[in-house]
Amino acid sequence: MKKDLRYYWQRLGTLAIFVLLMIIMGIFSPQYFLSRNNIIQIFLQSSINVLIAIGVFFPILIAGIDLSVGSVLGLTGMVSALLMANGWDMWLALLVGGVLLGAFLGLLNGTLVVATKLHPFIITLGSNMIFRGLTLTISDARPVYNLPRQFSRTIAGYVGAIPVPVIIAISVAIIFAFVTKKTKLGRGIYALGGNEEAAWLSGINTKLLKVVVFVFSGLCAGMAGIVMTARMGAAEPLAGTGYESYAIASAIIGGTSFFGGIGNIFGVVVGALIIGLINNALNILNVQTYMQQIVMGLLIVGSVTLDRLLARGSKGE
Amino acid sequence: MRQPLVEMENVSKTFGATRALDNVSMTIWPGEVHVLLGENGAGKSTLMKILSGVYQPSDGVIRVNGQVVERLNPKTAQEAGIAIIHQELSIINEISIAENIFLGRLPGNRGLFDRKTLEKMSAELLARVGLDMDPAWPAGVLKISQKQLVEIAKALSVGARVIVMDEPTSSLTPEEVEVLFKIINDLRKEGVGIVYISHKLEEIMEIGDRVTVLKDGTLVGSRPMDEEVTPELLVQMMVGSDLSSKYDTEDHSAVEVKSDKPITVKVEGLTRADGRCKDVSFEVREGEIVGFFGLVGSGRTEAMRALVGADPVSKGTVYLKGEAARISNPQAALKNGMGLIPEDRRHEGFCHNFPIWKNLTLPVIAKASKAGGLWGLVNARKERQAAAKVVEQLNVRCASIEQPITQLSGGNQQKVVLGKWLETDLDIFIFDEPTRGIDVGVKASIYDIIKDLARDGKSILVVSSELPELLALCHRLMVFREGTIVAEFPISKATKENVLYAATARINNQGVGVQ
Amino acid sequence: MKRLVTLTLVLALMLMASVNVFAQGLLEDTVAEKPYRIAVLLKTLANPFWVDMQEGVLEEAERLGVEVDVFAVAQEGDAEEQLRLFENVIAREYDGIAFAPITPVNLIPVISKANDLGIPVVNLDERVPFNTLRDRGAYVYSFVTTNNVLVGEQAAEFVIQKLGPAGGKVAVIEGMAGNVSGDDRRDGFTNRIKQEPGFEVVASQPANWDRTQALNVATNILNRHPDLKAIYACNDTMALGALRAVENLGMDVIVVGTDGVPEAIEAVKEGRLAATIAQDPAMIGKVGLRLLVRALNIPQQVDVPSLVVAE
Repeated sequence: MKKDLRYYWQRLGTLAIFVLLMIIMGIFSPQYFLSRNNIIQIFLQSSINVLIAIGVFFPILIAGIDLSVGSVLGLTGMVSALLMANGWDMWLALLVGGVLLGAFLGLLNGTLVVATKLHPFIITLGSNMIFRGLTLTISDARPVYNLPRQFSRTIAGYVGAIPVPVIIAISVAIIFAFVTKKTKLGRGIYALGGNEEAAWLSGINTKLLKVVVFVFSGLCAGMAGIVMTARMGAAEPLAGTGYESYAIASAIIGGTSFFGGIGNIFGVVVGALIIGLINNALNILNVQTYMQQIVMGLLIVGSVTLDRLLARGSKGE
Repeated sequence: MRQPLVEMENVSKTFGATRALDNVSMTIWPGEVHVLLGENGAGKSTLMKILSGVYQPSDGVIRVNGQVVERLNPKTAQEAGIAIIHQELSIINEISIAENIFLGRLPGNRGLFDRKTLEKMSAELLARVGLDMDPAWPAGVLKISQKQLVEIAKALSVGARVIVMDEPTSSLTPEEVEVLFKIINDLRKEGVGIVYISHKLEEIMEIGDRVTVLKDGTLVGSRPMDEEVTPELLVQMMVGSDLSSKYDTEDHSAVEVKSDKPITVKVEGLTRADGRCKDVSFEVREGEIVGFFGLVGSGRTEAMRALVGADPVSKGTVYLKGEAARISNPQAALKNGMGLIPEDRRHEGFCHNFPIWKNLTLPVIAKASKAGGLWGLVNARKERQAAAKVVEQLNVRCASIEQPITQLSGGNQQKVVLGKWLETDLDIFIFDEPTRGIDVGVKASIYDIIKDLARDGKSILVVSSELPELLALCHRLMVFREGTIVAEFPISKATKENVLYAATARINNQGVGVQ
Repeated sequence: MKRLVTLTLVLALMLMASVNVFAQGLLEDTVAEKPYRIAVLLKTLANPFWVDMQEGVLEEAERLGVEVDVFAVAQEGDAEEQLRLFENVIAREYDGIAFAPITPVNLIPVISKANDLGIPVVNLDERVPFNTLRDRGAYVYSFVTTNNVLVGEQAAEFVIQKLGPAGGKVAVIEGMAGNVSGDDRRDGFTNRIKQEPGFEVVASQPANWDRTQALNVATNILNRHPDLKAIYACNDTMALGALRAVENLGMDVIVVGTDGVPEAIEAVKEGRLAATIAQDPAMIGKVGLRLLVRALNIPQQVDVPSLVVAE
């Protein structure tokens, strides 16, 4: 089969945008931007968004959405902080308050989506508010700090020159890339995203899969919550507000189709890195505040439009 | 002398290379109920779309009130007094009955509409169609039969002289049908011409003044509904005398499967939760091909989907190889060796985002995993090998198994949709419209695949609207009508006439309808 | 270090003093003539600032013997929801209403409604532009707030004194783009710094009131300007994030926050955060309530005895 422009664009288009932006920035501000330290910073600063974006990628892959990831991040970060502040063992607190709670919140979303047959947009729009409200309630709207020093040192520390959040994000990315590419589960999710009815009639348990994608989403947001709390050494009641839009934008810039069935983890990771890179660049160039949103918006619209044009333009070949 | 309302003379319509209508003529007189009859795909809707200005005829003349109309479009057709009431009603539930009637033509000026006038005019129209409702109410409160009357009122409000009714009784109760017929009679007295499209022969016998029969886009005949017209004659006209087609019944190699073969599927009283099929019972033997015929909406597809657990069932038992089986979803069907190859490829058959090989191995993945495709790793190398084997076996025309399935022709897509079940060791194959939209060459090879499967001892259920296809392929025929099986024919007794008659006319006895 | 704490406390006191000068102690003698029913609409209780204001209001309500209900929306950005709350409050026939609008204009339609019903309204925290109000035929009885431009200037004063005549590069971490109090603080800070020779604002970047974003933004600015001397953050949440960045990089940069939330004050005491410009939200709430009570005390009708004029 002839591998045309479209073929390569689908696989490497996002990476191309990333490299292009790196080059542009390198020309503008080589001494600061391309320093090893700054490149590591871009990865570190993107780690939380990478984690949530990997999670939200799954609901989008089945033509759904998860708007609650920002709140899941806030709630898991807050609960794990409260558990630690109440003397729980750190690892147990992170497992229960972060990972398991995140997965559980995802399970709630997924179960509701399957049971009500409503679009995930509606369910997660609601659960987003519920989770945020819970976070405010249990924290009394006050930040929780004075966490064990070991916590930040471990989760937000370094292994050699590499920050632990980056290692966590990359590990999660590799695991989920494996899940999507090499497991029946992954194949089933793509089938469900491509054509739910065909997958159902082929004997794929689409109902269970729908729950699973939201569990993945919650799980990743939970891990992001841990990383965020560790980086700050504190849990803020409003932490993660609005982060879902960055995560969704990352998935979309990374080539994930809103109509389902198309996209991959690698693209999503690069998409999240692009957003991190842009934020970093805006700071370094000291771009005026009001301009920043315009730049970010243009990036999202531009990359998706480019994607469309290239995909369509080469269709006839 | 009386003048016809509409004359269509030698109208033809081609779509690309397909000739949908060939030299068809039809004349509609004032005060007559003109029945338009024909099988699915005979050209009825094309003809009506030309009449309402949706399509332009490739050839032929249309005269309205004696005047030749050059270019008819939906607006000029409406102005000429032609109105169509589609099977899917166009009533908007959220706005009032009056607003529905006058939608797009609300009385009043300068953007404000005059509700009083509107409701007064609507009330008059509703009285004409015998609907005793306050026109200010939202249309959502109406029953389907009442909505139909509102559609008629809407047609009258534009001064329609010709009203086309497409399957108007398909969702009405007998009492509602009577009300409708009374209104039709009133309209007839007022000199309105009615084009009445229906498959229900007893209704046609009751209401029709004249009948025009189409078959394969050509005119079979047009005649008054006098004493000589019987349901049998109508069926004969619909089927035509063309019994020597390539799917001739003589041609089929099948004879009845011997009754000593074990029964693999036995269905008793299968009823869907939504009631779209009820009390369906049948059995299929090893190596047997059983055809399920019925008109669109008769419940065949719905019954098959319920059988494999794709849609919820409220009642009924399925026995597989003599044992009662609980099949609540397609995974369970698959585990029990039963698979459905759906009718709508694009929406139910394949995943557009997958290349050929991933589509071909989807059920294998689902079956090999306990939780329905949730557990375990994929083995792409093995999958590709299996896929390549199926592609070769079915002679799927493609560049490679890596090709996106969307790039294949309809026939080859269908081979993939069908082929994905071959690797799963099914005992029972259910084909729903296996050859819809497929060219003749591929059709033949799909028939061969089906026959081979039966020869290997598989049980085959084939749902189709194409009677010749079923007559050529099956050992036995079941006829669906109004959600249930109304007749059963061994292939030796099945003819186009008696099967079609069973599918259209109301008969109660099992089996032989007319001989 | 000790000097630093003292200085911070002095600053906080100065700020309170400015509120008090405005309030003139004068209102402290306010007494309620009747047990009025008063509604107080705050932005959100998801932020200690507003929680403190609520506490101030409730404390003063008890002292005055009036009945006060406090309302707030769940999310700080939800201007529509606040409008709806205000409408409900009007419907429930409170005697007076004090409100802190989420945007300068989101409540204007209902303010005029309250005016029509003769309910006195007092504007807290963020100003509803008086000329806009007038154009819409509405008015507020009074306005109580911290002057945010002044807050920024005070932060600048602190930084200037702390760094001394040597001066240096400073950066600002802004809140959500377009938020008036945030922009006022930024402008107050930036304009004051500009007047001072040897000082330069080299970066002014938004972190949307978000701690993690502030950490990232501060890190990026510090990497770009390794010789940076001070960071001013438009609220404490962001200041704590920026502080984290400074500590991560082990740099000697002073960080000044705004609001005086408990965690920031603790950080000041520990000598990590240089200062926080504390507002006194409780006092804003108290003064607002006193103003309302005074407005309600004004009799609706006073009959002047007539005189008998006779021969």
